[in-house]
Amino acid sequence: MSRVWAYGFGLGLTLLVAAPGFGDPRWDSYPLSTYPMFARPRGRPTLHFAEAVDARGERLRVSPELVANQEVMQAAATVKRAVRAGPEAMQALCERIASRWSPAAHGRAREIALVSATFDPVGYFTRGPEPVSRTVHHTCPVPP
Amino acid sequence: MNALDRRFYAAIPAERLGVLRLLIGAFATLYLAVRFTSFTSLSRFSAHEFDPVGPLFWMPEPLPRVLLFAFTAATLLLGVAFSLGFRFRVSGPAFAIAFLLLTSYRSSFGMKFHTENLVCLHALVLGFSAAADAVSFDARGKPRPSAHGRYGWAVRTLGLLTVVTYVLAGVAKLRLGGDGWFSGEVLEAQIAYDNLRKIELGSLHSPLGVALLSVPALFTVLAWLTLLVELGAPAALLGGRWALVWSVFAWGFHASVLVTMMIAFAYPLSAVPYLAFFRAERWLATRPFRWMIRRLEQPIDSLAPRAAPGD
Repeated sequence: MSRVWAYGFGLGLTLLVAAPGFGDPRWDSYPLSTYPMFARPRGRPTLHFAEAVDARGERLRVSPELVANQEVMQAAATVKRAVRAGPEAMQALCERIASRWSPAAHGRAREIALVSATFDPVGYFTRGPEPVSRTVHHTCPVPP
Repeated sequence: MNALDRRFYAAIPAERLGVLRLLIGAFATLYLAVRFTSFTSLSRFSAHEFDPVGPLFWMPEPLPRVLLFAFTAATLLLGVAFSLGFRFRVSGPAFAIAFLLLTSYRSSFGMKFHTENLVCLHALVLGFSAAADAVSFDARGKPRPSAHGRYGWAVRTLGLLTVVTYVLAGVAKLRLGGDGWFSGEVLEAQIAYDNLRKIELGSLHSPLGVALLSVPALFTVLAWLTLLVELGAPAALLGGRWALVWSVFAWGFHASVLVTMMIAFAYPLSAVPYLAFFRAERWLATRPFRWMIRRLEQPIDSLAPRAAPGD
């Protein structure tokens, strides 16, 4: 392995990995990143999720596998992207979740809802878990 | 140039790089094996959810299900060859690139898996270095190479990349979090939010992290410790006790992230990325390694530790 390769590739890759540190600190990609994930002040973050609603109006939790895969945060990101993309994307995702909903495994549900809720993170634990605000963006029926 | 050579192109034993290849490769391969269904289930996403990142920026649409499965399986097999140092001239670069593409693909559906960045970068360095000249199938029956800069640069680059990623994370906290980071306010809100979203989304949250929220002053201390670990990472490049102390702190930092937020940065928690700061080849004389090496290459008798130049 030549010295030129060692310096070119080794130091070149190191500089490439370090380069995002000199730009916008919010920039994030893969495998290069500024690693902004824990750095931002959170304020009152909004969480996106899907929920099922039964005949009595009770809300049931939708497991991430029904939204995307077993990765919880990837499921949340999927709902967020659909909400941002608009009615067509929300309808497609909602129908996909509804088609995967099994009354035997998940309970009887009337509809699926795509929801966003804004929280006060510390207040959630110190004052109570009610969100500051809550919006139902889209609903679709669960096939019988 | 000589001073830089002594630090970067340092004469380091091939065994050290070989051990690092074996352990980093084994970690990456095991990681893929454990998360195999997580990788292959990406085919459940629809085309409009595909937002390619990094080296996949050019991809117009996601892979067909069969191709994704085949590519994940092939990467796993390449990982085995990479770890064992089997036909490394091909398997080394092939696994490094396949792992980069596969993990990039996984981060192309709305969430970036920062837990995979460092192991991916380390695999790239190893894949394009002479990492199988010792402690490998390829080294069977060949004379032991002497310590050389062609092994040293790769070991040094592994360490540099580890340091740079920590410093970047620290710099981002200073630039984005500002005063809130020094007061512990941002960290407190981060731990609260992370546990909140896990509760709301039906995942495992940390009761310890929730309990700590009743002691706000603690977050000031934890925030300063976090910055100390991240911005103090260059100390590891000094080697010796500096590297040991920093590595223990860095591991402790990830352990505390695990117990307060249930976020497992599996690679640093395995301690494998920190090994580039130490004379990892010394372990070759220990019983578990001797057993493993006996099956990899012969003769074993020559693997006793010796003076390691370049430190």
